[in-house]
Amino acid sequence: MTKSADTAVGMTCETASALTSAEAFAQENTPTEAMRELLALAFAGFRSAAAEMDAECDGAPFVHLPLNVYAAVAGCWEPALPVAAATAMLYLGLDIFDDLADGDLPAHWTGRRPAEINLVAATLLSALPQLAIARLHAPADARAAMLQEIFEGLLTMSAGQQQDLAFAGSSEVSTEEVHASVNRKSGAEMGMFAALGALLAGAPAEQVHLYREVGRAFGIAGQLASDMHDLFVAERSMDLANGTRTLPIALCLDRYAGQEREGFIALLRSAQSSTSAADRMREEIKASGAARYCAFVIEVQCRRALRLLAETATIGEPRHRLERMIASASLYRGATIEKGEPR
Amino acid sequence: MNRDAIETLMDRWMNEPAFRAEMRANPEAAVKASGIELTEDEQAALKGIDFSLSDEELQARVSKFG
Repeated sequence: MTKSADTAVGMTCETASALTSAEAFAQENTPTEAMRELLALAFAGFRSAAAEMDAECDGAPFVHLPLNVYAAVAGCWEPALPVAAATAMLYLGLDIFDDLADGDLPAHWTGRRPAEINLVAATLLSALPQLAIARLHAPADARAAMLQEIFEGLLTMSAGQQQDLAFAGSSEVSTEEVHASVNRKSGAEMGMFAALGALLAGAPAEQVHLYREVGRAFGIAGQLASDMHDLFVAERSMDLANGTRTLPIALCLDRYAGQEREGFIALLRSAQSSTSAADRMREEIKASGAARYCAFVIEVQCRRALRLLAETATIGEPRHRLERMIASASLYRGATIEKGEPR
Repeated sequence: MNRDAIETLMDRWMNEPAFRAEMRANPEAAVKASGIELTEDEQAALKGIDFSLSDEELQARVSKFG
């Protein structure tokens, strides 16, 4: 991971380059000034979050995952920068849709209508990345495979997001269903990012599959960790406010019965509108042991990602970078790398 | 992933102080003695987990983006 000199917020060189490239591509290919202004707003508002991800994940995964996978196959990351620009656009589009769905729009959107913001997200998700891939200097079959990867990935993620929305406010959600939803949403997203790097590098199909599965396991681990952060660490839990059913909540719903379950469900409902109820809910979930269960599941996914990575032909610095990224999702970071698969 | 096995393991961790002590001392031996069967990835995870961490210490390690 290289620190960038051209940004004041401490972004890595790779992330800064990918975002700059993505924004330039969006500006060049968007036909109206008003739409270009909206896209510029989206990119400007995203930079601090991207820098934060760079710091926390040892490289923002939406850029570093495709770049490192490409480097693992081809030996260097620079030719994959246009792909990282495409994955950055995809990630940003998804991020805006999430914020819209959660009613949690960042301040830079103040004064903009939700319909306009929705349009920006749709453009970033369904037009610009595909155009960027179509214009890559790569063999036609590689470009076709990459476009197929994006379309299939988006279809899977869309189904996962629908499940997530359908669970909101429900008391009939199992841990199995939450696992399936996280797999489709975040697993498919990171799996797609990793596979795109491998496809551009011309990796054989079985290697592409392995890298996709590495990304999937890492994506699941990262999403579960992010859900834990919302519930156990963040000042205010947006998931509780929105009625989102994350793994710790589903675990409690699975475990509790009778009056205990009824009381838990009543408190969950109150937590959507009452801060004090949300605080009590958080304390109850903390006391349930759900955090330790989630930490174990995250660790299993990290180990799976490391095991699959070891099955690829990855060696040297790209492998170390991917290992560090995977370990960033673990709550037992040191041990995850030290006791990981032998190099 | 064998979620039933993890849930059984975590249930026993929560509800049985003696099992918790065994896990903190030697997690691999404790799991083997319990008869709970773990997959290859779960066994690898078990080796990497620091069972001496308290719930508070564990929660303090969670980062925003995973």
